[in-house]
Order: sequence, then C-alpha cells, then structure tokens
Amino acid sequence: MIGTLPTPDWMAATEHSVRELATIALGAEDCRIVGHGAEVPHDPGAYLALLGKDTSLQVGLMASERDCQVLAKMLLGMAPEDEDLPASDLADAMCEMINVIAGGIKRRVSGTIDLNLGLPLFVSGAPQPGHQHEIFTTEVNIASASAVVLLLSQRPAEDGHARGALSRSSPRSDSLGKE
Amino acid sequence: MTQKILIVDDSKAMRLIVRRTLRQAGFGACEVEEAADGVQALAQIESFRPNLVLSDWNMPEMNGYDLLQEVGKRKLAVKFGFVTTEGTPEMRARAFEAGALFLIVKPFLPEQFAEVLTPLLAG
Repeated sequence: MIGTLPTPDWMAATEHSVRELATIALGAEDCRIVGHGAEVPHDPGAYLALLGKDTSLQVGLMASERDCQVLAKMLLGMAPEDEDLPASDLADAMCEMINVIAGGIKRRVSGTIDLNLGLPLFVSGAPQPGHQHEIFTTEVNIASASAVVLLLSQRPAEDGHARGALSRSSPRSDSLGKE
Repeated sequence: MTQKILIVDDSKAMRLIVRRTLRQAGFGACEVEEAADGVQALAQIESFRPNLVLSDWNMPEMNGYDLLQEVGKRKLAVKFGFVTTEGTPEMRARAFEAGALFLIVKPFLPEQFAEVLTPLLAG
C-alpha cells in the first residue's frame, strides 16, 4: 500500500501516465514497459512530489545522459541528430516530462486520494533513500531510450501514517543539480 | 485584426511546445508572447493586451490560479484558459468557478487546441 491505495494501482496509474507521455507528448510509436523492480540507477533524473493528507511520495524519471537527450529532443520535436541540448534546457525538458507523468498519476488516483502536485526538480545523481522509504521502479523503453520511472514513498509508521513527509520539491532547476 | 496570445508557463520547453501546437492548430498568424510566471504575465497582460491567455497552473512566484484571480480583481478584459497537468474534476471546477473558459490537460494534441480555441479567437 502507498497511502490508502494498493501499490499495483499506483503502478498501473504510473504505466498509463508514462504511455500517455510517450505517445502524445513525445510522439513515440514504440513505448514498452520492460520490467519492474530494478535497482535505482545512478542516472540523472527529474522528480516531483505528490503530497496528500496521509500520503507523500516522489515520482521520478531517470535516464542516462544520452537517453535524457533522446527524450528531451523528442519532446521538443527535434531530430536525434540535432545538436545536444544545453544542460539548462535538458533539465527543463525532463522536468516537464515528470510534470506530465505526475499529473497523469494524480488524475488517475483522484477518485481515491486527493494529492497536490509540487514543482519539479532535476538532479544529476541517484537518490539515496533511507530505510524509511519504499521504492518502486518501472523500466520503460521509449523509442531508442531506456528510462526508469520511480515511485519513492514513505513507509507508514506504526500508527499507519507517513511521518515527516518528504520535503516539498523546489522549483525546477535551470542547471544540473549536484548529487 | 491580428489576435494576440500570451503563453504563461515556467517551462521553456512547454512554452515552445504550446507555440508549436498553436501553429499546428491553425493559429500561426496570431501574435504570441511568453511569460514565465504569473507576476510576469500580469505585467504583460497590461502592456501586450492579449486577447487570450494560455496559462499553466503550477508555477513559482505566482501560480496560474492566483493569476486568474488577479486578472479578475483588476477587471482586465482578457479571455483566460489553463494548459496544465491539473486535470482532476476538482481542479476543473476551481478553474471554471474562478472564470477560466477552458482547461486543456497536458499532454495535448493540436486538434484539442483547434476545437477549444477556434470559437474564442474567431473574428
């Protein structure tokens, strides 16, 4: 469970939102969910907080720097061979992608849980979750890019409530963050 | 008369995508300006005098909802709609109660822009 919703429902909402991003925003003809539960890669990624009364989680979209470039160019309607985006534009594009995914998740669970969207943040290194966190990963191939979508939630405390909600995300970065 | 549109979004990428989608939807002849948050947008509504504002919801400084309320308080004559990831029934209700004419959920297609914006920009 994450909050009051079974984990498979979160995963289903995540998958649908990723497919929506891939097909509509990125124009990808090929989007395949290739697995779940992989270790969190040491890749850059964009994160956004979903905060509710008894639920707090971070949604992340992580990919290698090369695949971040592939995804960002798709979002912007650029060709793969176009010059790579500068770091600030890459971060901005990744933030917009996680914004779309998180918004899709929020919409899909809204009948059960009321959530507020934070503002996205781009980070150059992998998250370092503590034992109080649970991580659920979905591996996805979008066109030639491989990415991991991550749900990072607070384990419920003994009284059944998440404690010390994850920090509200900061405004999107205009440059690559530090690990 | 050329129609004027103000795009308000904190994401440079999204502002570019909205611009492109406007062209694809048949609004390439419109004059378009951009703002990165609600504070900038307010200043540009006063100076640029757009016919239509397309605003994101979640932004730093001043979000789109607060921008819409401020537009109402100042009695600025501009059509206003959201282009946002906020698509729940509750958020839609809030938007329309505050005076928004439409709410387009990201991700979107040019056909949605054409359907929603054509009646608003006709003439």
